[in-house]
Amino acid sequence: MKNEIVLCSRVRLSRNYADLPFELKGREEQANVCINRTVGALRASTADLGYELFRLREMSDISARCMEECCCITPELLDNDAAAALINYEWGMSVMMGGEDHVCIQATRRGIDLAGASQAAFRVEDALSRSVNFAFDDKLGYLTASPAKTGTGMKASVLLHLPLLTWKGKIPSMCETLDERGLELVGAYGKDAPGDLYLMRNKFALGFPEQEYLQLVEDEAAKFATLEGFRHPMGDVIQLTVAEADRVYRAWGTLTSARILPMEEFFRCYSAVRLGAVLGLLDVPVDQVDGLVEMAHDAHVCAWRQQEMQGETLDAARADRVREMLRR
Amino acid sequence: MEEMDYTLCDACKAKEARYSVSVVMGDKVTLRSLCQDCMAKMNMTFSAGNAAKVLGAIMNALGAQMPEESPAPAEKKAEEPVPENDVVCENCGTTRAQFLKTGKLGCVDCYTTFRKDLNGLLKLEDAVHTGRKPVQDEATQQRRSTYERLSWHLQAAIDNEDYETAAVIRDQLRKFDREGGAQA
Repeated sequence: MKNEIVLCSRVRLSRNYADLPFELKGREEQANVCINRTVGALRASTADLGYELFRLREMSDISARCMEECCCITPELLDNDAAAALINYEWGMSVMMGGEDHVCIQATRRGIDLAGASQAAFRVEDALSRSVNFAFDDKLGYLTASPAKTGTGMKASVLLHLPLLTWKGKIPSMCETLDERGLELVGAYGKDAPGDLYLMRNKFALGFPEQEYLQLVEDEAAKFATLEGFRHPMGDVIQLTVAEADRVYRAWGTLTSARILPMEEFFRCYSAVRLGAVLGLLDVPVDQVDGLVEMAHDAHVCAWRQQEMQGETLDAARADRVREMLRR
Repeated sequence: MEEMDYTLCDACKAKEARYSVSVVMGDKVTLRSLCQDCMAKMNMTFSAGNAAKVLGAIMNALGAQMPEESPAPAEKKAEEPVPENDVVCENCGTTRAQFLKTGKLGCVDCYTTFRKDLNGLLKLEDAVHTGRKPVQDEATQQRRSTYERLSWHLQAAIDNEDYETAAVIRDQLRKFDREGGAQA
């Protein structure tokens, strides 16, 4: 049940070198020291899974944005031209260098699997820390650019699809209790949570060991998944109201017929269609619907058409791309 | 000729100096006065990362106003008064005002400089890190410092286009990596 609602789990570990300033944007020389040191240390270890090194400067704007849309790199990394990332797409691993923190180790796993993601990230961190010294204080833990990550330097998050709770307007009241527990629920693709996709994550990183933060996020995500309630306790899927079902079928109609599809409309329809796919109302696999999110983003559509596009031309290409993907 | 009741900018010698900057080179500290425009230029040089090579400087904004990209309107100034003597990190030059505005620290030393603010933010009185720690044994420490030293030298050799030395250091690093690979 949980995997129908939890799309993926992600762990990010932020680490810094004590001899370099945190901000490496515009500091070419120090950014290179950071990159060479990290790449060398990882290549020398047994944790090297065959990572490919991408230097942002050597990439086209579209390719770099595609990597950001796939969540292989963070949006902040794109701000620094001198940044780089080691990526193993197949394993869901990336090691970003020169972003907000010198090194950001990211591990992503499908469904709810923070334990698996964290172990993969810790393995890389252990391998790196055999060769390099990360800034660490006995009382404060790992020192990071943002105090919200000071301590474990870890952000654990799960990506949740919560259409029913959102449509019923229940999200704001449910978030009140999260704050007390040191967690937050934020829109995954923007403030208003387009696609009814949310990230649940820890707000602070100091005071508890990593395992407790991981458990806390996973427990709370499981609670939200139960409340979203795609299924009855016995496992049968729920019945939608006529209005909700209408929303699902209309959204399906839009995605399969539209000739111009702005991103906001895509996200609205995606959410309803995904719900329809999970409940078996629509004859389309959930994975196929989930694949749309990445492919419908601006840079991916531009890459598909192999040209930079904007405005209506881009929205028209997006509509074509989505129709093509749903025809398969 | 009217008597000047202000200091002229040390850089352009034309405008009124509004900022006092302490420049630290080795153990020698010199005080320079700068006007708004020259201060803005200097900030740009800092953000471009070039000044760090030459100066390793500490900035002290002594005026009533922080160096902003554009002069703030009078009303806004009244709403956001900037303390006369702002706290500045001696290592990276991040001011307390910058830290409070962006929520980001500039370097490891900022944790000591802005301890009071961090205390409030992270409730440091009761919170202590209880999570993972880096490996602290002597062999690992030694390994790390050798690795960092070699990679610094390699970078310096590449920067100086001294490719012969770079090749030697690269071989040393490879040898070191092979040993590391066996240990890891």
